[in-house]
Order: sequence, then structure tokens, then C-alpha cells
Amino acid sequence: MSMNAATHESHNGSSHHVHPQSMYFKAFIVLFVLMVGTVLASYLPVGDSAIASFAMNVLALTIACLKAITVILYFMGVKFSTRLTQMYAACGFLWFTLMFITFCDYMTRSWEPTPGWESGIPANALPRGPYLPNQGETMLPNLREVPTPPTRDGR
Amino acid sequence: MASIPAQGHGNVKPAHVHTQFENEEQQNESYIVGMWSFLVTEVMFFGALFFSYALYRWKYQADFYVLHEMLDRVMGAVNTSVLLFSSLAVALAVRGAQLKKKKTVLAWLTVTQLCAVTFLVIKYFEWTKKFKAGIVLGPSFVWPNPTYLEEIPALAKVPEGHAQLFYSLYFGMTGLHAIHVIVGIIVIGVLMIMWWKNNRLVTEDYIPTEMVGLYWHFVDLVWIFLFPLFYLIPR
Repeated sequence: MSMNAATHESHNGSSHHVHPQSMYFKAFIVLFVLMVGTVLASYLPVGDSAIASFAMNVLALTIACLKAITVILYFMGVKFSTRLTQMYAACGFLWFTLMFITFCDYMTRSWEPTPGWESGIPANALPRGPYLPNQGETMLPNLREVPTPPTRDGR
Repeated sequence: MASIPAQGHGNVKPAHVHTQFENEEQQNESYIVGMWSFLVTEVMFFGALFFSYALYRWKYQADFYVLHEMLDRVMGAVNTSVLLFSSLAVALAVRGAQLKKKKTVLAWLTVTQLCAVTFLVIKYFEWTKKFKAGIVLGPSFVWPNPTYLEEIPALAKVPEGHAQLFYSLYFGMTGLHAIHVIVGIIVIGVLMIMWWKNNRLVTEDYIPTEMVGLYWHFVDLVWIFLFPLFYLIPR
């Protein structure tokens, strides 16, 4: 395969810039080295230390992000693209980050009784509590007698 | 090559530029932005699964750490290298398309296809190893698992529900990724046939090749994240 230098305004008459092969090979080397780095790091002994485990997580994810950025910028050509393209690419991954805000739901579940979440059994398979139609203050008076439905275990 | 003069501008648009575009640059940009829109939807597709994985990994951390050891790191690393190389191959094929060098394009696309097939073969071996041990999707899930209990005694403490959760995520995500690889193989195959037959759609304009390349890089990107999350992190 001939190693071409960069050809500007190449003979086909269009105005796109053709990158040298070396750029792609260099990006591949970077990616491969990062991959070998993560694999070797995973062999480091972590044991039961929470800090070491956390640090390993962060390291592995950071290297994964670096690899992703290399692929996106160089292989996918986003570095050389128009601002509009860059924005589309950025927004996709920005969304991904924002989605993790919904983690707050799960992390705050321990603040309130959530039998389905804590026990791991789906909530609709758990026995239901007593049915009380007028819990606490109600805005409207109870105009007619609301019959209590029979509960599953007769409570 | 035949060219149509753009009205009232005096400069000439190449034949493959459609009438609604001012010039080739604008057409290229719209095609690339269109492809990126699709890739953003794919980010959402996989993103939700990654979130699911993150959630249950956070919730059942200790169990997931033990379950992760059942996966083969070496096979995962080989798969990653294969996909990284296939990304390089497709990028060089796109470069060949920019230079209108048919042989270069076909050569590098062949390399990409071979890498893709290698990836699927390795994944086949990984999965069948699990299936033979009784780690399957469905009611015949064998837990506690005698095959793996020998290697990893800590598995005895992992409840079946957590193991099933882990494996539904593992098979779900790697399976979905494998489906994307298969689709990629088909699409690259079609592209190769078009190049081989000198179809003007791909020989005059490098953008279709570039769009297929973008899809393939995305497939590689997903694997770049899947690999550390499932195979590497807990250690």
C-alpha cells in the first residue's frame, strides 16, 4: 500500500481534505496501547480495599473514554467536521451523561419505605397493606360509605 | 466526469451533487449530519442498557464483582483488538474512497469483514462455553453452577436472582452488539459489491462509504465501553 502524503484539493475536484495514512495508523497505535493499559491494570491486585476498587473503576472508565474520544475525533473525522456535525456528536454523548441524573431516583429510594426495591421482589408480588380510605386529612368530606375491599390475607 | 453548471453562479457542481444543494460541501455535511442523527439514536438505544447495567451493578456490587470473574478477559481483549483493527481498516477504506482508489477500498473493506467475522467467531466460542456450563437465557439457568463453582468458590454466595440479572444484561448487551455487527457485515458487503461493480453511487461520491464507516466506528465504540465494564472493571 503506497503511503500517500496529504493531498489538498485532490484531482477529483472536490474540496475535502484527504488525511495521510499515518494519522489513522497513529490513532490505532494510541487505541491499542490504551487497551493494553486497561487490561494490564485489571491484573493489579485490588483486594477488599474500597478506595483501590473505586480508583480502578475510575481508571478503566477514563481510559475507555479516551479511547472513545480518539475514535470519534480521528476515525470518525469529527475533529475535521463542521461545527454542526460536532454538535450532533457532542449532544448524543451529552444526553448519555444527563440520563444518569435519573440515578437520583434509585439512590433516594432508601429514604422512603420501598418494599419492592429493598427486597428485590416486584412490588405487585408482595402482600398488600390494609386499605384505609381516609388516611390523614382529606379536603372533601366522605359523602358516602366507602366499602373496604376484601384484602388478600383477610387483614 | 459530467458536471452540471449551477445556475447563476458560474462555478460547476459535480454530477453527484443534487439540485437542492449549493455545492458538494453542503451535501456532504447534510449526509454526515443525517448519519450522526441515526448514531445518536443508537447511543440512546445502547445508553439505556448501559444505565440498566450501571444501576444493578451499583445495587448488587459485591455479587456483580464475583460474577464478572466468570467472563474470559483474554477473549475479550482479543475481541477488542480485532474490532479496533477493523475500525482502522474501515477508516483507510474511506480514505481510499476519497482518493477514488477502488482496489484500496475493496482491500480494506475485505480486512474489515474478516475482522468482523473473527469477532463473531470469538463471541460464539465465549457464549457456547457459557451455554455448555448451563448459563443460558431462560428457565434452564443452572445455579449454583458446578462448572464455575470450581474456579470461583465465591460464587456460592451469589443468589440466583442476581446471577440471572447479570447474565440477562450480559447476553442482552453483547447480543445486541453482535446483531449490530451482523448488520454491519451485511451493509459493508453490499457496499463492497457496489464498489466491485463500479456503481456510480459509491465511486463518484465518497460519502456513502464514509457513512458506512461511521456506523462501523460506532459499533466499535460500543464495544470499547462494553469491554471494560463487563470484563475488566471489578478487579
